[in-house]
Parts: sequence; C-alpha cells; structure tokens
Amino acid sequence: MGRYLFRRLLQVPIVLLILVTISFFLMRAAPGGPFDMDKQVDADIKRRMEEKYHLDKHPVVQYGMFLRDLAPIHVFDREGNVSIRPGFDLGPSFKNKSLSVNEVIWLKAPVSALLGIAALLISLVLGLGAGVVAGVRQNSVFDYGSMAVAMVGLAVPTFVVGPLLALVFGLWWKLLPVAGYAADGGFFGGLMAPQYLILPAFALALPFAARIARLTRAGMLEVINQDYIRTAWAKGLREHVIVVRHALRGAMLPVVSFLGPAVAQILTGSLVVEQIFAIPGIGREFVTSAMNRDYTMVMGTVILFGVLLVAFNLIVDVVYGLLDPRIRYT
Amino acid sequence: MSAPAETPPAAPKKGTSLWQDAWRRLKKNHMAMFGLVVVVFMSALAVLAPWLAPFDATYGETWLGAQPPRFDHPDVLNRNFLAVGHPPTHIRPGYEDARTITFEVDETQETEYRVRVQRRRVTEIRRVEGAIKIDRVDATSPGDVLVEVREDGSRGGPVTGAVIETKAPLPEAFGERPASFVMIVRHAQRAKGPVLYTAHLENGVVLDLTRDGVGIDRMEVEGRSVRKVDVDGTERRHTHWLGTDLSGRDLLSRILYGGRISLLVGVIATIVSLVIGVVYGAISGYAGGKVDDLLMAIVDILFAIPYMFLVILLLVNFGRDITILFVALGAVQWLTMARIVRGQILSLKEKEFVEAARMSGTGPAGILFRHLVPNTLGVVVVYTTLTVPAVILQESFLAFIGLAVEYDGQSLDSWGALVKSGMDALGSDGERSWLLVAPSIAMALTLFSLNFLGDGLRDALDPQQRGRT
Amino acid sequence: MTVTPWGEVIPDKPKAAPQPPVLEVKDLHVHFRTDDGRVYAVNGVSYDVAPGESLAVVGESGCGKSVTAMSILGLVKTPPGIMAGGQVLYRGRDLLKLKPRELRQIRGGKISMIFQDPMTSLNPFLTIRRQLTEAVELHLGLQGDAARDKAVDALRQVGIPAPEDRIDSYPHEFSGGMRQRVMIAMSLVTGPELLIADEPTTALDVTIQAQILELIQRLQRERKMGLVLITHDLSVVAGMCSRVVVMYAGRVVEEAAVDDLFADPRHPYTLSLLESVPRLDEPAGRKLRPIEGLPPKLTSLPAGCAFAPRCRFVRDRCKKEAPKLEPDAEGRKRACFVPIRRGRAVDGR
Repeated sequence: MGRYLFRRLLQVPIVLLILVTISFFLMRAAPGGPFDMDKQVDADIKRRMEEKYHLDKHPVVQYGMFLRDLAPIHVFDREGNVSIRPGFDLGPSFKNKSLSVNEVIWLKAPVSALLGIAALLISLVLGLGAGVVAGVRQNSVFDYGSMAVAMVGLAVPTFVVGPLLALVFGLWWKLLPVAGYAADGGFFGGLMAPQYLILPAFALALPFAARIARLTRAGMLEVINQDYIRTAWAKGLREHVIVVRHALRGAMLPVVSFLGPAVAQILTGSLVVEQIFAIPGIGREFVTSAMNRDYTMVMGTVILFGVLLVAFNLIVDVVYGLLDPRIRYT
Repeated sequence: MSAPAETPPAAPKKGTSLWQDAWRRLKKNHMAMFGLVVVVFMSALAVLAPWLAPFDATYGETWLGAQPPRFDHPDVLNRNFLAVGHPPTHIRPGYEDARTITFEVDETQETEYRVRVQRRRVTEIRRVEGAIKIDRVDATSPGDVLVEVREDGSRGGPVTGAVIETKAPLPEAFGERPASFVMIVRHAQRAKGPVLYTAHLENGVVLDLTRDGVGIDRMEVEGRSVRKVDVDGTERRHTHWLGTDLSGRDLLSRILYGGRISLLVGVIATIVSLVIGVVYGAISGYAGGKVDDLLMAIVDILFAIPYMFLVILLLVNFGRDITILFVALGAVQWLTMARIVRGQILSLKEKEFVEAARMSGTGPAGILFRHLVPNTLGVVVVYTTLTVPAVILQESFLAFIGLAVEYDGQSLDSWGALVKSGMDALGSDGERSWLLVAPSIAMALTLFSLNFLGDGLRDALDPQQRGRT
Repeated sequence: MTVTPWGEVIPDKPKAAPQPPVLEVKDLHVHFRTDDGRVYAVNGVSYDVAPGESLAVVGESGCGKSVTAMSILGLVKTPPGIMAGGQVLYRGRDLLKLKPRELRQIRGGKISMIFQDPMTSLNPFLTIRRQLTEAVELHLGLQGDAARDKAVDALRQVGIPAPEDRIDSYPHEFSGGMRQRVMIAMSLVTGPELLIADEPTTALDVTIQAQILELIQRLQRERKMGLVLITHDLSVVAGMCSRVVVMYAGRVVEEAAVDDLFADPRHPYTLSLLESVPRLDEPAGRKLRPIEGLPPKLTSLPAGCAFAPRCRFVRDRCKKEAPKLEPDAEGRKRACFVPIRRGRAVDGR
C-alpha cells in the first residue's frame, strides 16, 4: 500500500503541473487581454494596467513568475533578500480589484463546499438505500420503480434537473427560493439557511444518486449470488445481517471506485448548478472569470479544482484498500 | 460467411455468429429496443429537420412573443410593401403564384401625449392633438402601450401597466434616466372593424390595389395588423404545436434543428475520439512492455485532469467554432476508448489466429489493423453508443453555461442552449414552462434511449454473459 | 458389523430397534424457471438419515443432488426455484413449512452445511473470527471472549495450527485446504446433529482431499453426527459412508448399503458408474467403460426412465413408463424394470 500510495502521490504534481501549464497558456495564447473589453480604458491606462500585472512581459516569463508565487513558501522577496513568507500566492484578481485571488477563494469556496457535501450526502443516502433494497428484492415493484427513476435520473443532466426543480418547487408551488444564498454567506451561514440549498443540492445529487443506486444494485446482485452469501444463509443469519454485514461491503466496492470520478463531475456540475440557482460559489466564479479573461482568478479556481480532484481520487483509493482486505497495492 | 454444409451434425441448433446472437439477445431486451427505436426516430428527425420543421428555426415573428403549445394564429406576411407596378416584397413561397392577395387589417389609432418631466416629477401632460391639457394617462388596459420617445425623436421600448399623473413621480417602469421631457404615444383601441385590402397580381407584379374597394397606389402592411391572407379564398392558419419562444420562434422547429446540432456534435466528436482511442489503444496493447507502460501512464495522468475546465477555457479563448468543439470533446473522450481497446488487444494478441497471420507473412501493422482491431469491434460499438450521449451531454453543458457552438459566426442553438433559454424565459410564476419542458424532454429522451441502447448492446455483446441461462 | 475391503469397521444399520431418522426427505420436487423453460431439477427424491449415520448421495453433476441438499436448508432461491412438492422432515417437523425464524434456528444450529468451493464460500471481506463467532453468537448465545474461545477451539479441532493467531486473518491468507478446514470448523462450531457436505473436496488438490475427508469422518464419528456426503466420486463413498443413494436426472435410482452397492449394483446406471472408474478390489487391466451419451435435458425429461436412452439393458417398457424406487426380490431398492445380477440382466432376454 505504501509504495502504491507513493507512486500515486508522485502523479499528483505532474497532473497539477500539466493542468496549470495548459490553463495558463490557453488563457494567454488567445488574442486580447483582460483590459481589452472595457472600451473606455484608453491605451495609456491599459498599458499601465498591463505593466502592473506584468502582462507586458513574455508569457513564459509570466508563467515563471506565476509558478514562483505559487511555491508553498517564499524564502526570498523580490529584491533577493531573505524573508520567509507563506506562499500559494495566486496574485490579485484582475476584475475584482480590491481582493486577491486567495481571498476570493476563501470567500467562495466554503459555499461550494457546503453545496458539494450536501449533494454527495444526498446521493449516497438515496443511491445506497435504493440500490441495496432493489438488489435484495430483485424484480420487485420497488426494484423496477427505483431503477426506472434511476434510469431517468441518469439520462437527465443536472442542468435540466435544476431548472425543472426550480420550476416546480420554486415557481409553481413556491415552496423554496429559486435563487440566492444565505445573506451572511459562508459555510455556516449557508447551513443556517438551508432552504437555499435544497433545490441545488438535489439537482446536483440526482444523477449521482441514480448512478450509485444502479452500481449498488448491480454490486448487490453480484454479491448475493456469491457462494459466501449462501454460506451466511446456511449459518441461519437473518436477512438484514447478511445484507449489512456480508453483502454490503462487496457491493460497495464499485460505488467507492465511482466516487473518484463522481467528485470530478460534482465539481463540473457545480458550474451549472451555481449558475442556475445564483449561488455565489467557486464554480460560478470560474465561469465568470473565464468569460472576463480574469487570468489569475481562472488559474486560482482551476488549481483549486485540480487539487480537490486529485486529492479525492487518492482518498478513494485508500478507502478502497481499507474496504477490501484482498487488495495489496504493489 | 457461414456454410451450413460444414457445420458438424452434432452442433446444437443453428450456428449463430456473434452478431446474430447479439441481435437475438438485443431483441429480447425491451428497453434496449425501445432505445433503438427512439434513437433511430430522433436521428431521422435530425437528418430531415430542414424538411420537417414547419418554420424557420432562427427567425420568428417578434410580435407573437412567447405563446403556449398548440398556439394557432392566422398566417401573416410579416411586413409587406405593395405598390402598383412592383412585385410584392416578402411574399411567402406559398403565395408566389397567387393571383389575388386579400388582407384584412385591424388598424390602430395612436394618440400622442407630451409629458414634461423635471427631476423625475411629471409637471405637465398635454394631448398633442389640439394641445389639450390633461391630468392623467393610463396604459393599464390590454392593448394600450406607452412608448417612450426621446427628444431626438427615437423611440424606446413599450411600457405597459403604467399610470402617469401630473405632479407625481415618473413610474419606475421608465427607468432611472433623468429625462426632462418625455413624449408618450398611446396605442388606443382598434378602429371599428377590419379594413379590407386586395391586391391583384400577374406574373408576380401588382396590377392594382384596392382599399375597401377604392383603388390606392401603395400600402405597407406590418405583420401584426394583417388578419388574413387569402389565395383562392382559403384562409391560412398556422399552428405552433410546441408554442413559440420570446421572439416568436417556433419551438418545435427549434427543437428539431437543435437535435440536429446536438446529434451532429455527438456523432462527430465520438468519431474523433474513436479514431484516436482505437489507434492509441491498439498500438499500446500490441506493443506491450515499456511502450505500453508509458502510453498508459500518459492516459492515467490525462484521466486525472479535470478536462472540462480546459475545454471551457479553450472555447472562451479561441471562439466557439464547431470544429474546435469537435476536436475538444473528441480529444477528451478517447481516453476510455484507448483503455478498453488496449485491454482487448492485449488478450487477443495471444490468440492462435494472430500467430497464423504472422506465419503467413503479415506485417505488424497488418496484424494489428486487419486482424486484431476488427476483433475489438464488439466493445468498440458498445462504448461508442455510450460515448455519443456523453458528448451530447457535454456539448449541452457548454451551451448551457453560455458557450453555444457557432458556425461561421452564427450561434447554433443545440438542445442545451434551448434548455438554457427556456430556463431564462420561465417567468416569475413559471408561466412559460413549455419553453423549458419541451427541449428538456427531447434531450432527456434521447440521452435515455442512447444509454439504454448502449447498456443493451453491452449485455448482448458481453462474452461473459454469453451462454448464461 | 461389516468390514470394508480397506479393513474399516462400519456399524450395520440398526435394524432391530430402528432409531427415528434425524432427517427424512420425502418425494421432493424442485423446479426452476429459466429463459429456456422449466427445469425439472428434482423429481421425487426420498432418502433419510439416521442419527450418527453417514449417507452418501452420488450422481453426475446436474443430477439434482446439490439442489436436494440446498432444499433441505431452504437455500434454494425462490424464484427462480419452485418447491413443487414433498417434505423435508427434521425430527418429524417439515422444514419446508417452517416460518423463517424457526428455520433459522435449525440452519447452522442443528443442521450445518459445507460447500464445494472453499475459495469462494468464505466471505473475503470479513475475518475468520467474525465469520466463526457470528454463528456461535447466534446459536450458542455466547458473546465476546467466550465466543472467540469457542471459535479458536473449533479451529484447533479441525487442525489449524496456531488458531489463536490465525483467527484474525482474512480468508485469502489461507490455502485452499486450510480454508475448507475453516469451513468445517464454521459449520461444526455450533454442534449440529447433521452435517451436509456438498462435494467438500472437489475443488481441492488430491493430497488435501484425503486429509479433509479424514477430518470430516473423524469429527462425524466423535460427535455421533449424521452426515450427508454429496459427491460424484465413488471412491470417496466407499471409505466414508454406510449407505449410498444414487441419483440420476433428479431421481433416486438406487439405494443400498455401501458394500452391497459396490459388490453387486442393481441399477444399470450404478453399474455403468462403477465400470467407468478404476477399482482397487479388482485385477488391474480391466478396460474402463465410459457411459455413452449425455444426461437428459432437465427441461424435457423423457416419458419413461430418464436413463433409458443410455442404458444397455433398455426394454420397450422403459421408454413408456418410469420405474419407481422399489425393493427387488432380495429387498434391494432400485428403480428399474430389468432385474440385474452381477452386471447381467436376468430377465431372460
């Protein structure tokens, strides 16, 4: 396990570096810059702006400066004197001039995190529950019903589910707000005003709940036909003991390995869900800053997403190893 | 291919090829067959959209606005200038050979008021006709509109539901502009009864024009006021089965054309991914050893990258031309295909027929692409059917966040874009729900069916499941 | 008392005061619904096991012997299985009619079962300890350390070295033979009255097979437990069991004391079965005779005797009428119209 983890950890910087490099040059390679859009800005001001943000330098030089600022710890200041400062400096936001990218991320990431966690929990609870029952009671009404729902959930993407939920629960029945977020923002603020999160979290969760339900059911069906489940029956165990103790673990393995890509998709899904429900999260920030050519902000969000993704895939691998004693990573 | 004479007598039942067998299994799978039918149907609709669509998908009668499904209205000429001795402009194809065109027009009256405003307070209202001073102007009954006219004479948008009184602040609906002078035109009640215009044509040229039987020289008819157009005495009506959008465009036509774009993107990007994936995977699997390790390590690393963000950046920065999208989405999807094909090739290359081919002097490329790759067809087909919906989904996702594809600088509204504009047009009580629901259903049904078909094909072609009771 | 050719002493089936059987299977019918039609897996099987007796159930794969055994403990999944008729009596109670709760007390408690493949019959995700103690907790009511001690004890009895240490291992850390020992420990830890062993050695190496059989035999005798040994391997039967039931196509075709069966089979199928394997008690050099043809399709059984198409003694009657399991003139039970003595038909044809 140790060696395997080490190899996977080795992959992390490579993946992140590729991501950062491609994003960086994709942003820079296109004609025009962040200060081209505002027509009012005259050439002189534009030049001074570009100078201030080093946009006048060659992209490769900018890239080097960017990576230097990104280093975890800064030992030297710009003049070359030793002065140790914390790193991970993503620079100032071009459009949001009063805030640095780090500050924007600290402000908005908790909102997205809350939404993502809520969606993940909902999809796990719904998906595992429905999947287990459907698997154990194969060909029952519940099985057919829940799998039909799951099939719909799988085919209908988040950006369709979201507006439809908003239409039915928000506009028609007026049960829940269709847009916005807790007034005081942040993680706990959102927690205190959950009505804003219900629709987006469900919209985000449904496709994953569907996928998890199908995976769980398939896993369950495979496992309950295993010889060792027959052994458990032969011992005289009760059905729920057999399901929970003997079958669930094996049936969960495909779900666990799905969670890695699932988190990636929840992250991308948050791009649209935050748009639909006007949630001031990091996904919406990414889209707007990409459209506005806010270079530093885009880089910051991309790096954040990349780190989350890689970290989650690692966690999933570890959990998989813990669940299945047969796995010995080499 | 199969020669019945050669099958040994002891062989059980008929000899079935992999594909016949798969087809037999697939036919038993009701959901997959349903998917197949829907996919074929949707593809046919997409291909035939130009012939099937009842209306132009990109142009609408703005005056129609958003109308609910099954909305029915008389066929109109949007704007027609008729003058004796000239061919009529804007005649629909259906009327090109018409001899007579009859219009019934509801003419409207306009009454002009002048409103003097100082610091957003209304100081004076005057009806222009006769310059009568009045106290109050209403535009609260249907059909009445206030139009803001700026001092240079240009007109602003219509304002409904406003009441203007002297000595009262200007209503919110007029916006924040500190106008000091506003002219207001009131569209009053319709004139009594329709006015009948008739044009006689010969060889596409207007011979004479009459208004209620009285000859006139020229007329300009705006679509809104045209009630009826007759050729040979029959009234033409139009039905928008799925309603119209905010700009009066027929939703059914838009969905048909949107499907064309969605499916086109799905198919082409899938083909791109297919080519890259199969070649890459086949080479990796066939080469084996260090080359395989390296190629697969690259795939592993690429897999870990949140590519959707890169695609977004690519589209934002390099335009949303459809070719860029094909490449971007195809380049993203090939990873899984490469892995699957590699796995197949790895196991296939140990088989005897490869040895036989090698013995008969076939080179590596020949073995790979003539003997090995064709044998991976089963999984490739399965995965391809599953890639198409994935790509459609991604394109729609991009369209939804505002990155709809373009061709020649023209935005192509795929289903995703329709869903997005439908969502934006819902209204505060969801009163225009059809704009969201209809494209959503079209997209969901297609994705649903493609997924079912893919799953069914996988079950039908999966060798592990073969021979199971 | 009988002495086998290997010199083992097998107590005769008590005849004077017949003990009531622990288990009686009476006219059991089990079918399965499949895509290809109804499979008639078990068609009227009857046998019984006396306390402490060891019964062998022999037959080719697919003859219904395992399905019968699974039906005893209610392990046949319904659907697709259909319990189409018959009774399974444990001490006079029909197991097929018990409530799930009552059946659970007997399963694993009074009647235990071990399965063919020890590689797949143990849960790979749970430790041996968890898998052993759950049965102990359930049927013996022991908890914690007491349950653990009981489990360690059971492992020791089946010959697992250092059971105190190995008990916390996972199944994949054991070899195949060791896993089957664990399976045996697991099924015997609750002290059942009857053990059903469904081909317990088929999946094991030949050298291990003997050890496992010996272990089962030793434990059975020590505990005076009933044993139903299901096997397709006649050589296993000879050494271990006192009575044999031979099954073919879901029916019992012959039932006999083990020596009688080996010395003079009375059913053509049994005869063919014996001829198809080498025997130690005969001169070397005899030609083995494989059984011609294939077993019948269980979806469409012939009207007459299911073995008729492959039988060398076949008569016209065999194709029309299915023979019942009945004693012949000498009291030997077989299901055949043709009287057979020492490998020859003696009905004069």
